[in-house]
Amino acid sequence: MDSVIELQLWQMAAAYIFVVALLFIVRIRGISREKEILISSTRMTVQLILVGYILDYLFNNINPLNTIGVIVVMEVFAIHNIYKRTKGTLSKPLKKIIALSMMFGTLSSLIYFLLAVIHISPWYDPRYFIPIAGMLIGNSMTGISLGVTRLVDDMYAERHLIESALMLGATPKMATKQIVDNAFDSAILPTINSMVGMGIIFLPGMMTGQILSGISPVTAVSYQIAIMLGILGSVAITVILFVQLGYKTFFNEEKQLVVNE
Amino acid sequence: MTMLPQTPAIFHGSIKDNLLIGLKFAEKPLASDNQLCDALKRVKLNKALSQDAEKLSGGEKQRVALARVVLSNPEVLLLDEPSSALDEDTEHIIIEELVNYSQKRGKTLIMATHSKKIANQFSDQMIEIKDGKII
Repeated sequence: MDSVIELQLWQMAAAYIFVVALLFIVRIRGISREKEILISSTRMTVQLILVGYILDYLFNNINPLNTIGVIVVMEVFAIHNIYKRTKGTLSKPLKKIIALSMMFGTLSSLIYFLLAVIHISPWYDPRYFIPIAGMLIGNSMTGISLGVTRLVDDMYAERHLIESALMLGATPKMATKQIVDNAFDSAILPTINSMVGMGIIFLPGMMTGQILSGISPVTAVSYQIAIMLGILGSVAITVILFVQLGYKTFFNEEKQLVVNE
Repeated sequence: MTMLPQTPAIFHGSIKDNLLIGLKFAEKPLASDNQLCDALKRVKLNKALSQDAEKLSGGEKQRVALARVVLSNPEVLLLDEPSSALDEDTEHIIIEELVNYSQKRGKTLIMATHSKKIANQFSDQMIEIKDGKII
């Protein structure tokens, strides 16, 4: 296997030509996005440098508490991000369901994936635990965000139909079946679509990274397939838990809809 | 008990879908096409079962919703101004039909209405509310 080309500082700096080109284009076209482009490029650079040093420290100081601490921080940020991304206000019970679904969905698939599929040893090895947790949590966060938005929007938009269904004797589950199914569908669809295009339309980031770092493409592919299935499982468990429990928060104990005008 | 609001919702689909959905929700046996047509006749709506329910006029939608609750055959039927989108003559005919239908089957019909004429003519018991108080 060829040795990896180590990027020198000037080589990394040369890549910023693309940012300069983009800034030039938006300036010429009069699109006022210079500030956002500069902020996002700077944030990306600083965040990645920081995370590089943090990961380096964690990989050299293997300790279960460090690994668990990182997972907790990732979960907290992901849950907070879901709350922030959703337009409008989320009720407290719905927030609890989001947090519960994220924790249970991602952690159960992560533990299964690492211990039953990959067989890592020790169980808290951060070299596997952290990047794989990042992929499962990140994809589940995107999925559940889409599901939350769809569920909340439809519960408000279709409240008259839900109430009519309740008046006709439907249970909350029957009255919201279509809405819950649509929320699940919109949450899981990006993951399914990304699997369809994988390998033909694009090469996934993890696989590309492994190939660039000198690992055989066959090994990289087998990891990629396994991780995609892990992501699918994690997103599916997270989202199904969320929609199955989430719709109930829109009803009171008397099974009345509590969505306001 | 089933309630029909003043502005009932019409579900996506045909008149038939809308008539059957109440039975599905109440987990009751589905009605035949003949029974569905009878229910439409009872509310004086002469439309094909296959017609798109969302394209009906306000009054026609109200009649589909009435036929839907009648089909579900509840012990107590609570109607909130069920004929507000209908003209006076049709209103009278439909209320009379509903009252006869409920009496024959021994069901209770509770109806909120602004029409004293309708209330006087068809009710066994009348409660008048003014400024939020029973008078």
